[in-house]
Amino acid sequence: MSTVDALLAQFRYRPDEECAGLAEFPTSSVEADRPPGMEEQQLLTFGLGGSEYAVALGTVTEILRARALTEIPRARPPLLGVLNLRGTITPVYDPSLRLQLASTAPPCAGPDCERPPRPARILVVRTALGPAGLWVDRVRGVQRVRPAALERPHSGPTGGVVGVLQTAEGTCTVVDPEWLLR
Amino acid sequence: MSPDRARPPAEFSSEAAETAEALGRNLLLLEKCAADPDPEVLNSVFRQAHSLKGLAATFGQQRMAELAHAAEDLLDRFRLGRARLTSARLDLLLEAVELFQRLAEEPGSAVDEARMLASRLSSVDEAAERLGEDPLERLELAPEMRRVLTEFEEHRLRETLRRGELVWAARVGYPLETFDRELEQLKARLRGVGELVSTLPGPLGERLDVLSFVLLIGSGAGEAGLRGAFGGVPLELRPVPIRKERRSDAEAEGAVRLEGAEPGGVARTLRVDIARLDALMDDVGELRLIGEAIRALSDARELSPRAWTVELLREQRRLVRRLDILQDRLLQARMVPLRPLFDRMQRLVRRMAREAGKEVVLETSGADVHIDKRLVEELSDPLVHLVRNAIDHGIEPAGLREGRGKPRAGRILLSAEQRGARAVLALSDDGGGVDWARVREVAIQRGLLDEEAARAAGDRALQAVLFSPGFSTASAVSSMSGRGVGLDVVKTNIAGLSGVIEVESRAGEGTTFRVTLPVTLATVRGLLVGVSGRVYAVPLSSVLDVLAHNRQRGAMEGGRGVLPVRGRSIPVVSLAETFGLPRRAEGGVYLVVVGVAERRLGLVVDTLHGQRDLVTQGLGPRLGQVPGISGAAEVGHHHTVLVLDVGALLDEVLRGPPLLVAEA
Repeated sequence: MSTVDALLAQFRYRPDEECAGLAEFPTSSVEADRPPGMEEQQLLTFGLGGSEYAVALGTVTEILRARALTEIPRARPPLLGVLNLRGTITPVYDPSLRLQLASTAPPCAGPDCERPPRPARILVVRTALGPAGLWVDRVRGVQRVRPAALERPHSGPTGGVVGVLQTAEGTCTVVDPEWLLR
Repeated sequence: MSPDRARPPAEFSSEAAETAEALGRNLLLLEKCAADPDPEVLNSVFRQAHSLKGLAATFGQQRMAELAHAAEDLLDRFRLGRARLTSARLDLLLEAVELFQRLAEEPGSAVDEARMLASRLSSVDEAAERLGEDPLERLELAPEMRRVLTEFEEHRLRETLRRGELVWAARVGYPLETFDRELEQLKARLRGVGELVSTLPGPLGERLDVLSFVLLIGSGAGEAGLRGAFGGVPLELRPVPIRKERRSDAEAEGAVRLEGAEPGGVARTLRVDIARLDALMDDVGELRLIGEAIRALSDARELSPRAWTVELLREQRRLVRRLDILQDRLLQARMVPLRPLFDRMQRLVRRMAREAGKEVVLETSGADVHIDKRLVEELSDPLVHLVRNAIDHGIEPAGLREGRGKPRAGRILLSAEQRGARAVLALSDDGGGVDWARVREVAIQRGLLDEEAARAAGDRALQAVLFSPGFSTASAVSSMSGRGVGLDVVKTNIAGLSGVIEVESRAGEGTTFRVTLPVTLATVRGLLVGVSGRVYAVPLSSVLDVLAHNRQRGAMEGGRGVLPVRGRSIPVVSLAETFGLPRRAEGGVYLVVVGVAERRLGLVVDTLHGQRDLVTQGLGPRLGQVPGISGAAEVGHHHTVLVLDVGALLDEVLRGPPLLVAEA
């Protein structure tokens, strides 16, 4: 069983329903007796295509199992569609366009879209303009890092990239969720 | 945790809000007769403040009780003639009313402000001695002029103002060699007409042999009398304006704060007539009986399957009928009058007009029209916006109005009227109106219309431009004489309530905004239509006709055309084409005719999925205004359908090219 599956097993997913709140997300406290003054940051890591990304955990309010969205007529990418989140209409965006991983968004709404792949998730992030969703291919988990561990990005789009993190699994780019929505 | 932060029961909130509201209403009445206050009104205001105090104390709302006490105290002094009722003091009390409402809604929210206001209220007299009553503060004298006045001159000016006379500024030039004699003569001639208080050097003129002066003259005589005293010397003469009231820092700060933090005004709780609740209980009793009947039916083994089905259907019909009645009664119970909202606008107009330095009178009619509680709440923001627009951009300054032959004070009329299941709210001002030529120009500039379309555009099409986001957020337009600031937001809000907003305006004569919306919001009946495999809801209130669409009947090009429908030619569009959806060969078989006011539009759709009661929601601030969509509703399990914005689709079709979704 991979780490991802182990983590996700902690969740109680109901089909087509939102999952448990993030407060219940287990975070491993690796260094219980770390020296004081070293403020750790918690990141939620996720995958898009073959790459790994992360956003600050504090900005994410919920993780939903990806589901077919309601399409907004004449919407332009990166807007994929909307979903009704307990009575709040929440727009969902495709971050891979902003990250230059793809040039077109896959249809995730309307009658022509396919059933979303099982690991696909929607990260609901808190923004100044109300909640918004980010469609990601998979969620890896929560990572605690010291700010010093973040490197400056070397190449690629830099606008909303906060930093780059080297992990055992490879490189993980930390991004600003607001930027992904633009 | 202080006792203020403990949440008091809902009945406290609603009762306090209502009392505060009545208090505000009476204060505005008082304002109309401030010079000679009606003792009756004064007494009832006093009593209302007193009962607020009692109410707050009972529920342990310490801050509110203190504030009410301070207000009551001041009102008592007015009542007993110990203090004079002035505009500034009335402002203070109205500010207290706003705070009462905020405190009623969210106890503990404005604790510091309440304390400060209470101390301002109780120190009204000292304040008057210290700053409020120096009349010189209200004289709008240029600071550089004020600085050079001697103490004696200041004293004389003060006396002039105390006598209720005006201070006039005269600019006059006298020959270098005779000016001292001329001034002496002027002083003599002014005797009996006024008093020459100060002789200040004026700006350098073109002629070196002429000295120019700025003279400050205190006088109760009119302009003609003063000019006479000057004996025909060419001069500029104008009265130095007097501000209505001294604007202290605290007041200015208060004005800014209240702008954003206007309390909801309408309490979140609802008072329901007990008779209505009794009727609801009866309905519930009836439903229980039906439940019992169905249970009995499940035991009825003696019935044949056919008879059993008939019985079951009968009970089902009874159930549906009773549920309809129940729903109606619940909707009725949610209906509240518009009066509190209108009262709030009254206070708002007063404050905004003062801030804008304009004279504005708000008249209201139809405050007794009842609409759904939630609608009243959601209507508040758009209405505030429109009122602000009218005062800031619509109503001209008093001077300009006089020049145009209008009364000095601008007039805003807010009216409501019920027409069947809809309410029509109109907000008219007699201000400068919309400059349509300028709108046309800006629309071309901003690329909202191409030149040809703009030339051909009728009033309707230009109206739509006024409400489009690209227009209103343009900084180039905000300074324009007309309007257009944030009207897209207003339109989005109204559309979110399944309403339509229209504007009518003639340059120079004024502007009328007309909002038409359903009186109840709880559910909107919608017709579900299918297009290219998608489902959309059309509010049934705007569906006029559903016909089979005969594609041979008329030419449709690019999904648009004009077709004869029941003896009338109406524009028809394919919804699939309009929304850029893949068109299906077998589609386009129904024509749904929709209409708003006098306008008609035919929508070609593929399938009909019947009618449904929908609870609609807005699309939220991130998406903002999505052309052609007013909101969303959930039908069935996790299936969200979008609700068509019929008004916007009409505008769009009349205007030409389709729009793309504006990204947030």
